[in-house]
Amino acid sequence: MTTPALPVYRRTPLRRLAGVDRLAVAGGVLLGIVVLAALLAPWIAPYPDDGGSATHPLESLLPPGGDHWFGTDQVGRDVFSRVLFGARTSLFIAVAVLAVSGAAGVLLGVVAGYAGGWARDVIMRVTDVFLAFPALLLSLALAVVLQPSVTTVIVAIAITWWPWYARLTASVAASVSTRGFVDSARCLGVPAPLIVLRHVLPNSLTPVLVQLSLDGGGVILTAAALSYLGLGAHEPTPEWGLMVQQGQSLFTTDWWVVTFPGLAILVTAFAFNVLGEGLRARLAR
Amino acid sequence: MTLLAAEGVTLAYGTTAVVHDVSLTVDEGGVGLIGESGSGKTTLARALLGLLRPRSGVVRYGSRDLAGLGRAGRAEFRRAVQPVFQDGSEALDPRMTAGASIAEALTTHHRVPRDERRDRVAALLAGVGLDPALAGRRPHEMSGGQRQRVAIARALAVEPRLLVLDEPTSALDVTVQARILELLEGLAADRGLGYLLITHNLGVVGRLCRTSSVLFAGRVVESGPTADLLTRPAHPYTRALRDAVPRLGGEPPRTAGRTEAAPAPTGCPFRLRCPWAADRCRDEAPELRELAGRKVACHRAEEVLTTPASSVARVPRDGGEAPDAPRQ
Amino acid sequence: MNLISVRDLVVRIGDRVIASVPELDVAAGECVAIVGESGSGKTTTLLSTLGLVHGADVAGRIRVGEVDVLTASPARLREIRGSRAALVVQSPQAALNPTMRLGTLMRRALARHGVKGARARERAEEAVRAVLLDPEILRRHPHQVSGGQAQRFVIALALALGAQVLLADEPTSALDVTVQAEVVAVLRRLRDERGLAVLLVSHDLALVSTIADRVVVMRDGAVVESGPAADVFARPRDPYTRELIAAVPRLPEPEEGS
Repeated sequence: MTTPALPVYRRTPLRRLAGVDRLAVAGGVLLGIVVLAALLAPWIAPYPDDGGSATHPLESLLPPGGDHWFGTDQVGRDVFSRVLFGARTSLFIAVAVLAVSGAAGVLLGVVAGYAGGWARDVIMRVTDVFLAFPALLLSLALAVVLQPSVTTVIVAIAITWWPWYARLTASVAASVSTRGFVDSARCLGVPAPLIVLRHVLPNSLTPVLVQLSLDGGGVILTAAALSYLGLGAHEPTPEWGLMVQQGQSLFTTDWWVVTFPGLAILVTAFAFNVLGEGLRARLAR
Repeated sequence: MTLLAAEGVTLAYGTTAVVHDVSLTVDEGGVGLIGESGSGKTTLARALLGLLRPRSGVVRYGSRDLAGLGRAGRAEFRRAVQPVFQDGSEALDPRMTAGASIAEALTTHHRVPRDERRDRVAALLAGVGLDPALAGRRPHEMSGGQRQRVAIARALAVEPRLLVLDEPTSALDVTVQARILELLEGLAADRGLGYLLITHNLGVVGRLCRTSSVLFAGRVVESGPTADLLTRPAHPYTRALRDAVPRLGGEPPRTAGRTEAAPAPTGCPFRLRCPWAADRCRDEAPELRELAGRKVACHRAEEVLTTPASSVARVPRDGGEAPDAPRQ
Repeated sequence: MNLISVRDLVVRIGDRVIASVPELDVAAGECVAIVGESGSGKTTTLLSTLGLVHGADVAGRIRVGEVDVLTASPARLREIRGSRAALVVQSPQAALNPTMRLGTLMRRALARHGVKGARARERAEEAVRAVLLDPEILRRHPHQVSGGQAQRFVIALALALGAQVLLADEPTSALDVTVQAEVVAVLRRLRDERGLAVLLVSHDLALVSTIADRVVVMRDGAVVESGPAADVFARPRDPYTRELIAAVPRLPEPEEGS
């Protein structure tokens, strides 16, 4: 054997790692700001009532200024306050979708990957069926069938996203299952469910976690798209996609109504992506 | 008493058979299985560990067919037979501390109270010559030799009767190898542990195993007392293996040439590499037969046995037959 | 004539010395082996001679042929690595472009050195024969050859380019014993018949003892013993050398023609 960790090669990757970490940290900080905004919305929003159904007809469509940083919308609500409250809706949707589809996908994937054989075949064929439909189309169809609501958005997106996690986890778990420590556990007589939980699952999780954080942005965009099409959140729920839809016809005259929620979508999706990309690069060392 | 045996075992991945009709018994004391990469030795080990079902033939634990064991029989088999793999960093879960890995083995078959666990783990670590303080370390925080010792401690935790050692030292530094072998020798002697040692390293087999089998292209080509195999090989492949091992300060290793030739599909699988190959070897695959206190699968084994080492065909080398002392 | 000459080599990362070699010479037609275990600094020492140590401070004087490695221009260093000295590593297959036949790889390398056409083919075949391979191998892709063949092909590549220095880093430890023996036979031949200077790094003392003329034993970055191979193996002075020798598994001697 040769000297394993060759000290001579150490510096370059380290430097790269530092750069990568800066990227991940930047994404994390940005996302942290969005999360804080969501959590603290009732306290930091200048007009907390505007997050709900309040209307102020006399103050409609005021341009950005000292009283209303982001201006006001058609019914006179403060856009800044609604963007802050909108972060709650969007992040809630993102977290719920990722939690539900991630948990389902990882569970099925890890079982498929470890068991192999017919169990793997059945699970993988089912995921293939789901993957065969264009995701947005399937979400749309579901959203049309169900009543438009935030819950509908979550269900509709989660149902089209879990197969990706199932497939990713299955392939990682299959390769983890061939490793010595899994054989060693089998030779000890550790029951299969325990092997999966103790050894296969924890060692298969990292790539899925990276993928989840990369996908956060995608969920927010998809949720915004569904709401934009009128299939998700509805008035008076503050939701960025819905706000964009309601404001788009005013873009040429009252640009702020559509621009600020649009920017919020952009920034949040970007933050998720940068964080995920940073994590991925770090793990790909 | 036979602890573990393969009887006419054939193993295959898909449609490709990698082990053909192999029979092997492991009793108390050490048995060696010698083979190079691609010989099928690791696949055979997996079958003996019950991780792979034979395509045909039977793996027996004691007198019982492994495939037919019930729940209780299976648990008993798992306690009795434990593996030690080549690389401790592979055999230990990277996310678990050494202590957790050993504790997992302790608690799989018996309930061990929490406060007792730590003492048992410490005792097992001490038993393989490690500081019990290592219990808190993860695999990447340990050296290769330490990892392999932890893997051995984990295997010993269930108090097995037999260890299946698959290249247990080949990933380690030479001085560490020597210490691990000493440890295994000691454990075998103290506990009456049986072991099957799978390796390409003849020196290791010579030291630890009374009897050995040589595997070539998934077939046993020679088996018998290790000392006889190493001093008077009857199969040309055993001989090639032995002659290829460099000796400290000795002549340069000899090769029988054409090591890249693939096993022959018909007749004797070794014939394309064999300096003794004759027409008969092309037409007829040799069966294992008794000769000079061993079993050998070679038509010309009698001649191999009696031919002096120095007259074997080899790769051209400098300096003729004179022993080549290192030059100044 | 010394083809490799190292004086007062010290390789540091921060304050830690990872290799320190006061003196190391390899003459034409000579094989010098650096023996040691993980972390001994043996590989670092070998890589230093080609200026391949990155991220560490390398001090001292290193000469390969006429070139001072530590002060040479990057272009000059590339030239040494390309044609004067050849580096042979444990798994050479990874270093060979998998999409190209070995013959194409060889032809391109020769073309870069201005050797083309029939002369290039001649040189390639001659080099391949010198490492005891069938020239037929030039028609194969890297994945179609065994580890031992790939190992010897890399040596042939260096030979074709006129290498006089061979640096081998654990060239045989990933190989089966029978294949190891062939690679060693090739190294011996090249040393004896072509006068190559061979610097070999290995942890396998028995293997080293069958080829090395002189031996340098390293531990924890320092040289603990060096001298003619026969002396070191017959009368080791340092306890660590003795430990290394004791660790070599012994085989019973064959009974000749019994």
